[in-house]
Order: sequence, then C-alpha cells, then structure tokens
Amino acid sequence: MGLGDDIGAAIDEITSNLVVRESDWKFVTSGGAAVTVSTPIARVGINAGGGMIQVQRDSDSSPTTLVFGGIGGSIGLSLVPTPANFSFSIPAMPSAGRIYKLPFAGWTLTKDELQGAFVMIEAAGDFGPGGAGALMFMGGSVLAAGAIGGMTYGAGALPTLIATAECCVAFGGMTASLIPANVSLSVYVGIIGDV
Amino acid sequence: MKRMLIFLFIAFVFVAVIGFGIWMFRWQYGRADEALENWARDNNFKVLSKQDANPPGTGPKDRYAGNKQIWYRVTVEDAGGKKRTGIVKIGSESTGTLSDQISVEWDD
Repeated sequence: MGLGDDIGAAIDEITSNLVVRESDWKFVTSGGAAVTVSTPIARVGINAGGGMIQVQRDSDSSPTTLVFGGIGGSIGLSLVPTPANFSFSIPAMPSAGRIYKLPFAGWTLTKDELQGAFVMIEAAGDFGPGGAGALMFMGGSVLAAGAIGGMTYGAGALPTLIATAECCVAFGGMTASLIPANVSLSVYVGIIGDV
Repeated sequence: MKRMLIFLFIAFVFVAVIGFGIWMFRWQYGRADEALENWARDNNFKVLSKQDANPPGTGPKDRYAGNKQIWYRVTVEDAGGKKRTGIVKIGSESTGTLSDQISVEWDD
C-alpha cells in the first residue's frame, strides 16, 4: 500500500466523521413537564420546560439518566382560552427515539458530549391526551453562540448552538395537558446533564 | 451536588416563567387602565364605569389568542354632562398593549 492509499484512507476516515449518523446510544424512555404562559404578542407564549431522557449503550449495564431544564417560546392555537397551561409526560407513557452523532462530536459519542447546552424544537398537539415530537440538539458551543449572538443582536445564537451541537436526539411520545385542545411549536434553550 | 443544582435550576426556571407570566398579565391590564385614563382625559370624558368586554378567545386571558387587544365596555360622561356607552379597544391585535393604539365603538 503506497502513500497515496494511506492518504486516501485517512481522508475517508475524516470525511466519514463529518456526516450525521446514528450513534451507539439507544433511547430508553423520557418524561417531562412544561408550563406555557401568555404574552402580549398574538399566538405567542413563553414556556418553561424540564424533564429527563434515559439513554443506554449496548455495553452499559444500566441506563444513563439525563435531566434537562430550559426556557423558550411557542406559537400555537388553543380551543380553550386560558392564560396558562401545563403539560407533562411520564416515563411509563409510550415514547421512542433515536440518537444521532453530529459532525462536531468525536469519533464516538461520549457521555460528556450528551451534556451541556441544548436547543430543543418541539411540535405538540393534544386533546387532553396527545403527542409530541422533538429534536434536541445537545453539546453546542456556548462560546461560539455567545460570540455569534453578540455580533447578530442575539439572532445567531440559537442557530450557532444547533450548528455546533455534538448530538441530536429525535424523540417523541404521548403527552397530557391540563387544559385540552392545543397545537403548538416550541423552541427551548437550556442545560442538560446526567444525575 | 450536581443533581441538586440541576433540580434547583429547573425549579428556578419554572418559578421564573410562572412569575413572569403573572407579572406580564397584570402589566397588560395596568397599561390598559392607564391608556383608558389618558384617552378619557384627552377627550374630556369622565369614566363612570368599565367592564371587561373581550369576546372569548381574545385578549391576555387566552395565551394563543389571535387578537391581544383589551376590550372594555365603558360608560363615560362628556364635558356637557351627556352619558355615552361603548367599547374601547386598547392596543393592537398583534402586539396587544405593547402598542399605544386605542379605538372606540360607540353604541349610539
């Protein structure tokens, strides 16, 4: 094997790391809660959300529990007019998900790369019982988001957190709401860590 | 310690957002009352009574309302002592009481 083959193999190895691929971590279950309050802006609410995601690698003897909390905004529609609402899911409710390694992660996704700042985009709908699906981008660079956000009056902060994220969890499941009949699209930013 | 910090952070976020929601709700009605007083003074009216008049699904009481104006049914007395009734709409449909807009629909 010549030098050219070695270089080609090295390039292949590097470029293969620059694609989004499913990681060896498996989604186990999730649960959480969110409260939404009214704002003066039409169809826009402010949210607080928190919860947990359990993930596990085949080689692990027990799942890793990641706990998260954050704030965000939402746009939506509701049939029942109330200034606030509360929704939740518990780990016993049906849920499913996949965990993807993003290009900024190392060769393999470590537990540390599943932690730090996150941005979550969530679509939800319910009539009391309901469902939600979310993309959670974890491990983004807070430093880069701060720098880009500072240069763009804050507008570039969330896209930068997403662009520099090391992993993405796509998950969804059953939810329940205190005040029924809502559809919403929410964006959260916060922190996630293992306990 | 780390577990405690994360739970404290989550609790803080929930309390902060709920507190901010309550403050914002009250702020909108406070601002609407102030706008109504200014409107009455500028037009030489004396507000004799006011009642909430938002139709269901409008105003700050609906978090996803398409119209965030605050509506009051008012009875006012003008400088000549004549009483008039109508609905005062405070704010704009899209940005509620963040806007200084005010409009009146008189019954007569």
